[in-house]
Amino acid sequence: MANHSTQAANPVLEAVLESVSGLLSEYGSTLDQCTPCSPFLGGPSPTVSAIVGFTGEAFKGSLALLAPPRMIADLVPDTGCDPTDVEIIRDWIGELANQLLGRAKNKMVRLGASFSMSPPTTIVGTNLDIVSSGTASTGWYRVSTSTSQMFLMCDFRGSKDFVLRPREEPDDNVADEGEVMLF
Amino acid sequence: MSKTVLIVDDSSTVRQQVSMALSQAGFEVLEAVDGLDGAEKIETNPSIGLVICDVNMPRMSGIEMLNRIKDGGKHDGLPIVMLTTEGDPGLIAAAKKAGAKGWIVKPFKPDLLVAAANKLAA
Repeated sequence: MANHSTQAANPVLEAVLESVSGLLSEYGSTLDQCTPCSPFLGGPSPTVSAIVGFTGEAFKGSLALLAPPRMIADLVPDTGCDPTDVEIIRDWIGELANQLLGRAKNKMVRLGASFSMSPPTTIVGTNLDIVSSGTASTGWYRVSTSTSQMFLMCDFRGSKDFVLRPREEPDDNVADEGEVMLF
Repeated sequence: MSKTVLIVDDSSTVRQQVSMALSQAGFEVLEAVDGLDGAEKIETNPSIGLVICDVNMPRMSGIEMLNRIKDGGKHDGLPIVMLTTEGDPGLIAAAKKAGAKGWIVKPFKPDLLVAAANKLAA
């Protein structure tokens, strides 16, 4: 993320894109490519989707993931449950969206911007279509691994005078993934 | 103190992950699906000796549950650890002020989670 004051078009998307590789790697997959793409148009094949909303002081938006169920099943941690069960897949894409936006938030908090996150909403079906606000700051990306691909949408609406002013020194008090703090 | 742990998380997979790690370490495990369910289970299960709780959940967040449980001092001795994707120092300070005994950022490492549980439920 650029460390300068900027009329950022979509700083949350930028932080999300920086976080994709680490999240996939945590669950045994490897990011191959992450490329801008046209909005996802659902087809006859089943798709599972999760949406998490966010709200900051002068901005709001949402992050959506859309994927074939098999891709998410491959990312489900081994807990003894059937990873191909549709309820497990819905649950897990919701948690992945939550963890992805959480990682992005932690990057933004380090630079001085924060936001609240909603719990994920998930859906599975055919011909799914995610309707964004249609602003110029909606980004669509195709996230490819060696075996599959999913789509990522991040919609960002800042107030007219929203400016991201990163702090001069990153905040080192932000807790890292896996960190344990006992008080 | 009891070795019964209540896991509060809206993700069934995360509850399973935590449950598996703690069960293998000898803990009894109960589950709740959100903060409201967690608060009700804490009120009705005196055997619970440790709570591991997510932050972002529907109906009642983990911080709201923490405030509700700690209000009035009835559960002052019950350790509550937050388990969340968030590392925001402001949120961590709010949880600490409300009486949380720990903060773990997802994805958790099972050995560190068990070590924290052993320390707090001892």
